[in-house]
Amino acid sequence: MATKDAAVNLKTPSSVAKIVGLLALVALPLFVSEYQVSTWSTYLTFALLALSIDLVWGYTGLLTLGHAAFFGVGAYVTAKLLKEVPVVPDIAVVFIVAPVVAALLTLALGWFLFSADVKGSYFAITTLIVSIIFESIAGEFVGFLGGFNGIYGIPSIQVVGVELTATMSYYLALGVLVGSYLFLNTLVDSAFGRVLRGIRGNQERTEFFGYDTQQYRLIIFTLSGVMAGVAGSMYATIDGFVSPPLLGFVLSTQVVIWIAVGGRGTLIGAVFGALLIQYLNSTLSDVLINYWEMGLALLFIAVVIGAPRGIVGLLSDIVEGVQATLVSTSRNEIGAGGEVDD
Amino acid sequence: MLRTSDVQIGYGESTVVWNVDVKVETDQIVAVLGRNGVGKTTLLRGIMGLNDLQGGHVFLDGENISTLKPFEMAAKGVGYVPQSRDIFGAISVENNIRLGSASGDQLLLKREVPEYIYEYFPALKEKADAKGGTLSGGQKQQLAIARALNADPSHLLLDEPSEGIQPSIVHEIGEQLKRIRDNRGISVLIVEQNLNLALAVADYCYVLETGRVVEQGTPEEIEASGAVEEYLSV
Repeated sequence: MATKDAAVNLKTPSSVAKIVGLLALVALPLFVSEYQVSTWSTYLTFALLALSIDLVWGYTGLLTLGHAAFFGVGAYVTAKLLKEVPVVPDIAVVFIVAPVVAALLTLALGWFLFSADVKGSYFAITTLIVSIIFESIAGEFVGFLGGFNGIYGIPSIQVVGVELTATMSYYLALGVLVGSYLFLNTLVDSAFGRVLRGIRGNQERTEFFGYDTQQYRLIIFTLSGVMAGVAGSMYATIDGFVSPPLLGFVLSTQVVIWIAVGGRGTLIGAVFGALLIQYLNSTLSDVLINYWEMGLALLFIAVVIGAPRGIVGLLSDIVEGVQATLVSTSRNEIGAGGEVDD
Repeated sequence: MLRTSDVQIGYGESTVVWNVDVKVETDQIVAVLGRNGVGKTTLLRGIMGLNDLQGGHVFLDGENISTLKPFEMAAKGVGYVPQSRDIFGAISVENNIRLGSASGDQLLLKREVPEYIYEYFPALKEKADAKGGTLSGGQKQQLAIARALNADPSHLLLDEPSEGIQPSIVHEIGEQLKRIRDNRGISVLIVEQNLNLALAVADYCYVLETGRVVEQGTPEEIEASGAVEEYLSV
């Protein structure tokens, strides 16, 4: 269930939590090493990828297991252009060329799938297969795409002649993530977003209201491809290295787990889940070397059983419960006072 | 005028509706009567484009609309109120109605619900901010009709609007359908098992049995024909 909170309503506990989280991310470079800043920058790009998938899965009900393909395409396009075609401005590569290529691919795939009315598990499986094909292609083309060794030595991007430092790249990634979140928050809260929820609830019903659900799904799928392309492009410039797994089904399915853990159909849950699990991954994998992935699986199972709306949904329920208790207690006290006065 | 010509409709290889001709004239309420399982819902789904026609055609004001998709039917002015009502339980009554205001592939919804809709169904105005899921069965049915009305249809298809609703509300819905026809000029095709409602509101009736039209006429003619006892009694 989509439970989007008001993005800018400062009176709600969820908004306060979002602002505290944002301030923590803004302040992070002041307290960690440059290496950790770069690491967190990649987390932010993965969070943007998660956001793009949550838009499709959380708001139209279509589970895509192949979005890493579009993330990886953005990364590979950026790697090739930044290394071999220096005439194209870096910023244009990241924010125009890479997302346009990813958008064209999602548009083509989406048109094919939605025209054939492919949905449910067939949609998930088809997108998964696309991801596997893209990963295989990247692995096979040794000369052009570097094969399984990938492409390394991708330079950081330059903006008006200045090469971005790790910290600058971090803030750029953070700005893009926050901007994307605010944009999507507005989108899903609009009339357009209500139609999306209608499609998720019952496609047939929404169709006989007069909505071309194929068109809506195609718009959202393509928009999510644009976001995935930008995320992959930024990842390439931050990490400096791209390889076939960035296009593959392992990453595609991992992101779905991040979203499920964070809270599907909330947007903020996708961001939270992506950042939380990657942080845990990097810290706990040093301690629990062979058991971390098992721990992730157990966490996923626990969330599915205990908190099907994800951690964000669980926290929201807890806050609402506390608020209800406080209101109830307050009323009882007023009532008790009234009895005394009487 | 909405008209079916020799339509056959079914699911996969099986046919449920056979060679049916139904006509809904302008400003007319037409009822399709029949017991459970005779193909009433399938007929409406076929007209609406939710089931493909296996044969025959559907015409709207002389235009062949047999192959249109449901959203294109809505754009042509054909509103549909399904048997399950299909209201959105998690959003407000008002937003439920606003969702019905699409016309073709327009992306933006009307800002306000037209006042005349609330005049037909004042209970919905009182509950405009309540979530759809909190309404009673009768109110949900009214909401489903109101939502369909918000698209300014020329024709309204209703699938068993009386199902599971207390008699007083059924009577109220019947009266509103007549007002909608008289005041808005909307033609109505209603499929029903509830004879009291159907015969009270319809200008013309068709009786369906095992997917075929076995009797037709005005309500008075249907009652006089013995079809009620032969095909519609339990």
